[in-house]
Amino acid sequence: MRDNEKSTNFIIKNRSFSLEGYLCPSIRRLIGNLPNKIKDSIEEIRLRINNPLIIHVNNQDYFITQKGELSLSSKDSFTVTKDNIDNTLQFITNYSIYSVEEELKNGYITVQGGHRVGIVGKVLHNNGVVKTIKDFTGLNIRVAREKIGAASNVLKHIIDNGEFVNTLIVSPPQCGKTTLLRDIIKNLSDGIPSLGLKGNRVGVVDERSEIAACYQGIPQNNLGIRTDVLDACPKAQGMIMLIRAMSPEIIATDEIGRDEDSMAIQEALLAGIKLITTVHGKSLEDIIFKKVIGSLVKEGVFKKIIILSNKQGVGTIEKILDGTTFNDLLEYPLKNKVAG
Amino acid sequence: MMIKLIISLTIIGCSSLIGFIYANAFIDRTKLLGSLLSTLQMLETEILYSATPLPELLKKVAKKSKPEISNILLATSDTLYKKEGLLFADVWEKAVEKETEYTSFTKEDIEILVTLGKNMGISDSKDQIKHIHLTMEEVKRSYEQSIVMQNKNVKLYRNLGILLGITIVIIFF
Repeated sequence: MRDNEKSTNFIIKNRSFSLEGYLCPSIRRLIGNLPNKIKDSIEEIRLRINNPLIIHVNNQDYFITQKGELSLSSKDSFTVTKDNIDNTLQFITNYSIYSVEEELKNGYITVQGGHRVGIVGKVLHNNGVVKTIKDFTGLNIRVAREKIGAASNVLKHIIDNGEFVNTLIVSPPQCGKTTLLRDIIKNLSDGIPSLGLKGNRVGVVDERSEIAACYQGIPQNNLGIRTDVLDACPKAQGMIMLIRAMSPEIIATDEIGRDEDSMAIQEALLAGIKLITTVHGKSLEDIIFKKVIGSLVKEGVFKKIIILSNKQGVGTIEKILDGTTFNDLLEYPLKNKVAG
Repeated sequence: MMIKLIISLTIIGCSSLIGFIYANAFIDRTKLLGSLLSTLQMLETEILYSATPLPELLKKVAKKSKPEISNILLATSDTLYKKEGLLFADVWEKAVEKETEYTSFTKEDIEILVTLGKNMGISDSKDQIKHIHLTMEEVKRSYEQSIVMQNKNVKLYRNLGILLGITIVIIFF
């Protein structure tokens, strides 16, 4: 779609083929018959009971007609039935819903290849704690694409004299925040000889199983050779666990924001560990008043602040700020074709 | 005279063998149902404590089950691993029907197995355990019934076989 545009070249591992195997036969046929160009850029497949099947490609919703053609109107579109959802779920859970009970409580399942499937339905709860979901009514299959090279534009800014400096990534949702973080982690872990950076021991606290996308405990995304992942662990505890257990040089997590996170960050800083983390927001002004992250920014903990947007396509690097003077280090926003 | 004797003995031998085969089918069924119970027990434990997904779990349990039962489990697991987009219930039903063709399972036993397959894997572990328990109850009932049938019929069919042989010999010679 944007193929002829000049942008940084990424090696995109195409994993959407493996995704087809998770769909129920009738939907699999529809998706399978789409042109490869579309299939390769699918971002989401949405199944909602008694509603049209929708795929999200390049920031645009498309319906699929009974004949398997893409359409912008919901007329004649393929309607998802309860059977479609139940059957798809069978393939997603490897025929065993009981085996993903813990994940179901969070409302999503990570499958092989790092794709994530969000699930809604009737929730059974007990004293405010979700026990399980049943009578499933909707699925959202988010296609994971590992974009090696997504970080190449920012690496030189966050490495100073062969040393990584504390970095904060600020981004609205769906702007490639996690993708960027992931590629930065990989580079820090492997080392970047051209910038004089040796490989660092990186500890990742992956509370929402998004960074590493673990499937049965095995990271589905390549996070580098010196990376330890604590999967599904609360951030604050995870950071302290990592400090004590794995002696990391860099700790990476996403979406810092709770009070206890601040404590853990202090502890990490005391131990001389470098940090890279992300936060939701559009600009510096957006985050400066947030409780935990705001005070960390004001204290100048983060030496570099990367601000993302989707103004020139997903993953646009809007600004890279110096953490003490808040001056923009970029002359103009960098187009960086990265999908969330 | 000698030939007559040999033929008579062969006839008696054959018919008693047939009697024994019939009788053994009853013993076999009891044994099969008994081991089906322990297979179900294993399934329950695996689902409850290790939450292993079905394709892997069936393979694991198959190793510890009787050949007649493990054939069903393995056939199902193999098909599931191929990921051809078939539903568990269908794969299971086909495997049950194919692999029980030459076993002593009766129609009712097969029906119980097929019903189990319709509920496997589609709900949380609590619900799964319920279904397995229900199946176990039914298998237990068939097992007891099978013992009664066994006691009643084994001697009958064995004797019937021998007597039939002798009768044929007496009539023809």
